[in-house]
Amino acid sequence: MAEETRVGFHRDLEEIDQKVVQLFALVAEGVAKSTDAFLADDREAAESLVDADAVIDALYCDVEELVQRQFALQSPMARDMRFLLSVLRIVPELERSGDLAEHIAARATRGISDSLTPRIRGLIEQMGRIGTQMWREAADGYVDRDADVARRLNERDDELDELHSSLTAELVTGQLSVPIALEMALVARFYERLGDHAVNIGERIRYIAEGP
Amino acid sequence: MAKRIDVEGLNAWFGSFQALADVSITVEPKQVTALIGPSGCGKSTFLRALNRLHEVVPGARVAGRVLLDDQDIYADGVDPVAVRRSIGMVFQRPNPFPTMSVRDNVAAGLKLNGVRKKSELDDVVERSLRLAGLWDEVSHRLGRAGASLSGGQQQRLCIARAIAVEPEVLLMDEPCSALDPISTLRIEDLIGDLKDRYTIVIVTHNMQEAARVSDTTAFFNIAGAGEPGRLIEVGPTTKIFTKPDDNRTEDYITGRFG
Repeated sequence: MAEETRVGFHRDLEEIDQKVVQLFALVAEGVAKSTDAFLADDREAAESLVDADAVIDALYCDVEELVQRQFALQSPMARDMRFLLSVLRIVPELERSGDLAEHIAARATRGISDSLTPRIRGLIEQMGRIGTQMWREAADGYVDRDADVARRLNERDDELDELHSSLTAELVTGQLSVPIALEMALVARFYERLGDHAVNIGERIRYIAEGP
Repeated sequence: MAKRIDVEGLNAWFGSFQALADVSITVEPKQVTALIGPSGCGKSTFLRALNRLHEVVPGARVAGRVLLDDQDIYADGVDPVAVRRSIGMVFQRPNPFPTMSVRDNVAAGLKLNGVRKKSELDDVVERSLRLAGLWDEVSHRLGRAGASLSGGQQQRLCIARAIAVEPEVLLMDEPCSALDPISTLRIEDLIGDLKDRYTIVIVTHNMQEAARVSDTTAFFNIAGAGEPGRLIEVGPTTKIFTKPDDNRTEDYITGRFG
């Protein structure tokens, strides 16, 4: 008794886990950097996010293939099955969130931030801060298999949704030109989606930790 | 008809060695219950205790109650042979009577019970072979020796033989472990068909097989060498293989402990 079997399989699971952690780190960092790049009009930082997104996309494909292989070859069960199923559902959220961070940063190259009112700028800063916190929390929750992170992310997401509403209300007051206001509506929507993806991931982390 | 089995505080010994301790479990009718666990965990002993085959081994004994629809099969005066007629067993290695024809293999139990009429025997042979999914393959050669069939066919012949005497319960001790993958899948399909009529309990070392065929899974384990086997957890198969309650079950089915 008390002897581990299926050592190779479990090593593959660890490899998958490490790649997912890496994806979390890249996305969380991307969300933080994208806000800075956008508000500072930092084209260089924006370009580095485009490069990071290519890494995210490659890792995402890599993880999917590794997971598929485990299902085909190893008949995973119980916690292994829950883990692999969750990874399959988590990585598209990560990939999509990487795209959203890149979309936000891409606006840095269009010189939008100079045209913003202080209030709109402040709202974007807050959305960026909460989005970044949510993604760091999601990453930590994943590493710790913390079932409670789902609840906390949900609460944070409510704050983000409120900021989204405030920003939208601010945009319709007509202080910005229509093209800038349209871009800002998109940026606000990107943050709102980033929050939703983090919430979805929180639910998957809860599933890994606790099951259905 | 399929009957429920209620096991209460079952213990089993081989001489002074206790193989099984304090097992209580309800086996539902018209369901497949799979028993899984490492070698020596007592699952086969448990299976054999369900139709009084355990006591056939010299020095082996059983304590506790096994109720077949409220009738204790270990009560005083109960005939073990009658128990085994209503609770049939299929073994790991297909064991048809080698020189008997296919027909006689299936009819053997009935003949022992005194049925002589050819038309009645023929009806039972056909019905049992059909239920066992073997009729189409052997109907034109019922007179050939049982041993002339392939391994998978022989195992289905043994299943036909077991169901010919119309048992209420079918016990299967690793029925597919000696078979090739295709024969295994055929037997597994057959188990799915048979559960409409019988209470089925299957011991298997193959966890994927337990997952495929059973409605309920029971995990047996031993705490260490020389310790008796115990029932650790029983529950719906989907639950056991997705999120079992007991860490020992989870460790076993994910291969963390062999």
